[in-house]
Amino acid sequence: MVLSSHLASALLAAVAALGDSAAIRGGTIVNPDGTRIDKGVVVIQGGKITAVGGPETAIPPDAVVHEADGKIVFPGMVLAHTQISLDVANENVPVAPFVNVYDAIEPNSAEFEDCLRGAIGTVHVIQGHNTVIGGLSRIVRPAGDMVDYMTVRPDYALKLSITPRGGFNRMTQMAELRAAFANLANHIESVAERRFEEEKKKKDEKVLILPEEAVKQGMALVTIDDLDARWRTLWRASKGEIPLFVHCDRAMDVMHGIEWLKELKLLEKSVFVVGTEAFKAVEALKTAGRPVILSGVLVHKESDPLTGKVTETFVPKVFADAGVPFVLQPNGFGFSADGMLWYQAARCVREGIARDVALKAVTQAAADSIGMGDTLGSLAVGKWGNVAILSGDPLDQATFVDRMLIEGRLAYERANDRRLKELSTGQDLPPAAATAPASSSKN
Amino acid sequence: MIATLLAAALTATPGTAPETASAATPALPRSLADAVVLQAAEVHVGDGTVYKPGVVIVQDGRIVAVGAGLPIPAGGQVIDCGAAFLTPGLVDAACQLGTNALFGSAEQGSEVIPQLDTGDVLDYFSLEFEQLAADGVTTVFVTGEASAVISAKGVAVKTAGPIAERRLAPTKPCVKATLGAETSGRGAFNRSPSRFGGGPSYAIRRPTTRMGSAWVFRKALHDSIAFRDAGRASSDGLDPAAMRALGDVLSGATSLRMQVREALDFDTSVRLADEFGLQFVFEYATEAAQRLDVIAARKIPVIFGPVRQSDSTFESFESATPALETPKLLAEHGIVFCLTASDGSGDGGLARQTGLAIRFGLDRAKALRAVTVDAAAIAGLDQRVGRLAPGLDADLVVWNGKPFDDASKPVLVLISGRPVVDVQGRFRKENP
Repeated sequence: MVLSSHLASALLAAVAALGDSAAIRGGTIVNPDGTRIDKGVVVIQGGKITAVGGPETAIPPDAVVHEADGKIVFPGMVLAHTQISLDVANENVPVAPFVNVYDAIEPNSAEFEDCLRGAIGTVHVIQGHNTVIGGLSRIVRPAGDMVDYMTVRPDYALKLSITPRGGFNRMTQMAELRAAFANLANHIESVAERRFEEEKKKKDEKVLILPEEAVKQGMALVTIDDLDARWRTLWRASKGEIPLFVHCDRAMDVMHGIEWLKELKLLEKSVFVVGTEAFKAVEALKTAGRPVILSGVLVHKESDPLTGKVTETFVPKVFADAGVPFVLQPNGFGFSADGMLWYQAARCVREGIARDVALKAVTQAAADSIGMGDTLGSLAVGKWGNVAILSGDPLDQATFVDRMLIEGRLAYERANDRRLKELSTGQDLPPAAATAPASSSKN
Repeated sequence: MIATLLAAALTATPGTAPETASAATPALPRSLADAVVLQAAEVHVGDGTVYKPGVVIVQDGRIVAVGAGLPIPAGGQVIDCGAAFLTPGLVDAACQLGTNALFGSAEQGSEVIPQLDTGDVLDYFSLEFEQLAADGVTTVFVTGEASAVISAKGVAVKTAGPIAERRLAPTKPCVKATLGAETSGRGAFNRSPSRFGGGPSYAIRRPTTRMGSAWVFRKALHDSIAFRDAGRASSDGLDPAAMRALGDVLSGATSLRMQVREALDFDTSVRLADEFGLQFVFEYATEAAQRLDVIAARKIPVIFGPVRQSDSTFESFESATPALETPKLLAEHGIVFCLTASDGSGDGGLARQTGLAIRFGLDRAKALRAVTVDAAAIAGLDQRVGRLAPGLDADLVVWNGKPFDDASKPVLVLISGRPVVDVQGRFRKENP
């Protein structure tokens, strides 16, 4: 669904003028690790948090103050892996590191509005799993009317899939992955040889060495400008300059993936995006020590081929019990139960996972997985001012996002959320109802 | 009768063992020595009454007492649920699970099949029942499926327990009619051969429009009246058994449901009901928020739901959109209603539907009432299930947090006093 976003202008302004100060006062500050500050104050200056404390905390005189009495103040959640706003999640070409979600993100997607309604302040948009090597991803704010203004990290990561894409088998998939990197190596060698020859020619020298030696010596001469767009991304990825989001649906894919990534010396740059059955490889993932993003489906169902007996496993519990940090994704997207990110965390608590682990899976662990753990994921001095002002506990189903600040600027207000009102009541509202002034005050 | 029995039986308080009862004590009709006593921090009866803490005493599969500070019968097995919440087992009054009759394998011989019984296709071994029990749903009314305009009779069934005890008799049999596009849509699964276009067609006798659905309904009732009054055969070849079954609908001996999703079908239902003097219940009622006044004025009970992000295949035949606050609005308009998850379970199940209704403004006590007391009443099962009251079946759910919270789930489910879900092994511990 495409809507013209009335939230866009607020964020455009936010990006243009991050020098402003803001403060959230009077609410209970709740951090994912369980710490709480009653009647707390969060001060944000230039988009970053400069103070978190009790009621005595000084508020700069120029700050826009958001009163939060009776509310819960919680860090903006992080959606670490999603295809929202992309009209088609997968490129048809199996090896396509040259495509970029930059060209496909729809800023007016209703799903970005749903992010704000669901306390999500940061979104990593990456292409789908049905690929061998997919395109470049982008980390964005879920508000704004141009991708450029929404962007937090451009060209952030690359999608790889160890699990075969639709209609292919595992051997073919691995062969194509290996071939992609082998082709890259061949291409770089030919470029190196050419560059070596060019350098010699410039100096009017003759090439008096064997091609193998020319390649070796030419390697140092190759720069990104010597490559066309088809090769640039993969080359950077092969050098460990781009994080890899590696899709492993099954446990066996995790094992093969780890092995292959080690060969490429890229394991340290990898994030595992796993399917439900991958819980069986939890020890290998623990040893790998890389972030794990779980599927939105949290229950693994398996039926015994002989007896037909169905076994169900609540996947996050396996990771929690093994002490492996994990990141949650919604299942689908939107207002219904498991389409909400916080609902997934609530489910974890329901199934016996510690509350702080569940909350981190939608905040700190999610931020870590996109390389922004120092910037996002909790309310702490130095981090970005992405703050959700909630009507209640983050895991209570009756809780709504009252206001959402992104980098200190108001990006969402429930009081002015016309679409939510229409969805709630089934009544069409006149457009005028959407543009009431924000309820914040100057200190 | 039960109350007096109980008063006598409960004279034994904790610490006074029954064996000390003097010979002068009148012989009790039944000792409570084999009773099961459940204690919990909160006992929600279903009608809004809450005991904090509360006790439920169960014997022979029935509830014998509910209250606060009840004397514990000596000898009874005490299950202490601690800080947990205890509610009646949930009732889904319009379930579409547990049979193999649904969707594609339905009766294709006629649009009008009220003489058939959904009970004949119950699959007691379906894993769907296990899931429902795990969700805390202990009784379902499996409603006739929507590919016939006037469908088969529904069937009420417990979701677990000995098969011989699972079926329940509602106060009246219940037949469902479906208006709107769904009938022709589902009928399309029995398409004419592709060389004839592949669509629903005259050749397979489906109504292909909304008008057609209403006409099939109207014609069947006219035929049934003529059959009842003059013994006249149906010009559509309607089975006399079907016409007799519809005669019961006309007389009110069989209750009627109207499955509607879009607002306009609410109006058609009301018109048809007026034509034939019928009382009915709305099922699914997706766009009820658009017709609150007429529903309230006519006091039509509503089985509402489910609300989902993307429609199931069933719902996708219509473009109806439920207002998220519909349950709250129904309550505000004084409409008797219950919630259904239809073919959903687990994260799409009844507890989550109830949670969603709470999120969008429905009072918690009313929400519980909607999936217990009122669901049982609408399905005609309130003489057996739906509340914690002496004499009713001991169908109970113990939750590990607030009922319907996203972070809570049933940890103990009893059906007729038997533990069918026991996550924390309370009964195992008590009964090694």
